[in-house]
Amino acid sequence: MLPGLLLIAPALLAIALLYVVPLARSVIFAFVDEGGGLTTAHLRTAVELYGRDVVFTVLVALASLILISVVSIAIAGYLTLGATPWAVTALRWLYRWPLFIPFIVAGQTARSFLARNGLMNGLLIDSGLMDPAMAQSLLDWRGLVLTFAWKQVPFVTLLLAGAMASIDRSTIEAARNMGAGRFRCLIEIVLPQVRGTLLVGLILSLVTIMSVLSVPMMIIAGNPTMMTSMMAHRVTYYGDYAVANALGLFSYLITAVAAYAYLRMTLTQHTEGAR
Amino acid sequence: MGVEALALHGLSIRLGGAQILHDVTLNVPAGSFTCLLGPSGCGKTTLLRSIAGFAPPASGDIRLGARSIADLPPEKRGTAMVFQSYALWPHMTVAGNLTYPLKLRGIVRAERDARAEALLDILGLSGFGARKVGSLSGGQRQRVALGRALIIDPPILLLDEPLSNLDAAIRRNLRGELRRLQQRLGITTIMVTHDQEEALAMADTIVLMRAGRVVQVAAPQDLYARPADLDAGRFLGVDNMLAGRPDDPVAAATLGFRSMDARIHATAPQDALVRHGTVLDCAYTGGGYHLQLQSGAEVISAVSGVPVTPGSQVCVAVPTASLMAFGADQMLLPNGSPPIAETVQ
Repeated sequence: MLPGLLLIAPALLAIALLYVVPLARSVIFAFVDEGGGLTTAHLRTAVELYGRDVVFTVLVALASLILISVVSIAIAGYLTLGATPWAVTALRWLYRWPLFIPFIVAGQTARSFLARNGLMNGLLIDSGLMDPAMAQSLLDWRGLVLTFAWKQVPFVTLLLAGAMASIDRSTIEAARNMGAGRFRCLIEIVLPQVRGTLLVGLILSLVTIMSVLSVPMMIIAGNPTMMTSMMAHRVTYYGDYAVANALGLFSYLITAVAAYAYLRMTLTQHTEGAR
Repeated sequence: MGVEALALHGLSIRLGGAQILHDVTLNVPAGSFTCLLGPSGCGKTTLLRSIAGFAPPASGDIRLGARSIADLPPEKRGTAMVFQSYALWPHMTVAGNLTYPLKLRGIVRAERDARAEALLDILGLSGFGARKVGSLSGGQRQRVALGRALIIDPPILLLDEPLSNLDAAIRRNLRGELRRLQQRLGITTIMVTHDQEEALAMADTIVLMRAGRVVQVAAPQDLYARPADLDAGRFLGVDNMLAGRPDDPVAAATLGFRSMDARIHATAPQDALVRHGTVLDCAYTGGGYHLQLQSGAEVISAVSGVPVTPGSQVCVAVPTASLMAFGADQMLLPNGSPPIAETVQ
């Protein structure tokens, strides 16, 4: 008993000190007033002032996750089912690059790419595909969704392509042999076998999106914006940790829902596997 | 879709820089059961996969009935393949697996379900439709895989070692079942196997392959009695290969025979190959004894109904009809060829 406890003690201690205690502290402080009594005032202030930002955050996160799923399924699917060897090799090399770019650099890149006078519009106008008068800035929710997707697609694709590579290849061949084209094969045969991995990738991406500060700070100037931005604002300009904690509570709740869905799914898989 | 014949013409396949198949030409008549037989790595599975469209040919043509299918993607070929690992879709039920090919063909749900029911009856799996495939035994999975291939009424059925993952007893049962089903449906079938017993028991025609080439195409009885060369003979269980002597009843560079045809005799019989030797070893094999004899520099395998003491001198004889005569080039000599001495003169 004792040696076992000693062995897991460092890990347990790290989780307790670095994760559980700060989490508990911030949850408690969201409900404690200056006198030390319980209050929901911070929570009410948070909803009143930042309700729109909470909704905006949820919508941006959902839109990003949808875009991330579509693109990473397409890339991983092509890596698995692609028939042109050189294209598959090239894609395998290219898709991981954004993994190694920090969020703040991604934010800066997106700023100069998506602005009204940015690189993207410049290229479109120079190539004659767009009328200069039509040029508009994408530095709003669209910029956020695009940047989050650009950063997280390689990560989800990495997980997904690995999972797709490890499924029994003959199940794919059997489907094609029976008359399924490559697209149907991807949607009806490959994807159902890796949906657990996709969900894990999306949940981890959601947690990342909920916690990134630099990207919304750099891309969005006005309101509404992501909750992280607002929390930073509250702390930096007002020193108001209580309301920031109350806002943080919403982040916890959103990620907790995702974590619950994930745990429930893995448990179902475990019981199915045990049967 | 009706039953169709398959023709391969000059088919060569390269995979990753290695030549897997060399100029294979083969005709498979409509409705026949053909086995591709050969040792591991001889290219038999690649040949099957190339018919299904999973191994692009470097040259040559594949024709199914009147049309060439060599340039079609797998899903357009209409061949039905049963994989060695069965390749059932784990996220679908048994009925889901059976009906998916029909769904791909746009058949309405009610008819799909009815056809799956009927097929489950034929396969002896009534009531299994709602089960997950993970809960089935190996034999049951095999049947579902076969059913899934047959439900689309394909012009040709391709079987990749379909019985090799099963226990011996189930394998023997399914062997007969599969053969009867094939004859009842009259479907053109090509099966890959490395098990000669399986090939001999099931096929109308056996295609013997070695190192990416077709060595011999023959009916099971012909292949067994007259393998094309020494290696083919060895693969088909011809375990004795002796150098021919001038006084042997058949003239040949090498004489081959199976040990079950070599018996111990008190006196040398007429019209037989005769050798004398010392018994090295005598082992009981159930129903008889298996002997190893030292005859000059050669070791002969033979059988005996009674035990023989090692060290004793015996006479072993093989009836002429059981002998296979091979020339100096290792190829089987044609039947009734004159003795070599006469040819030389």
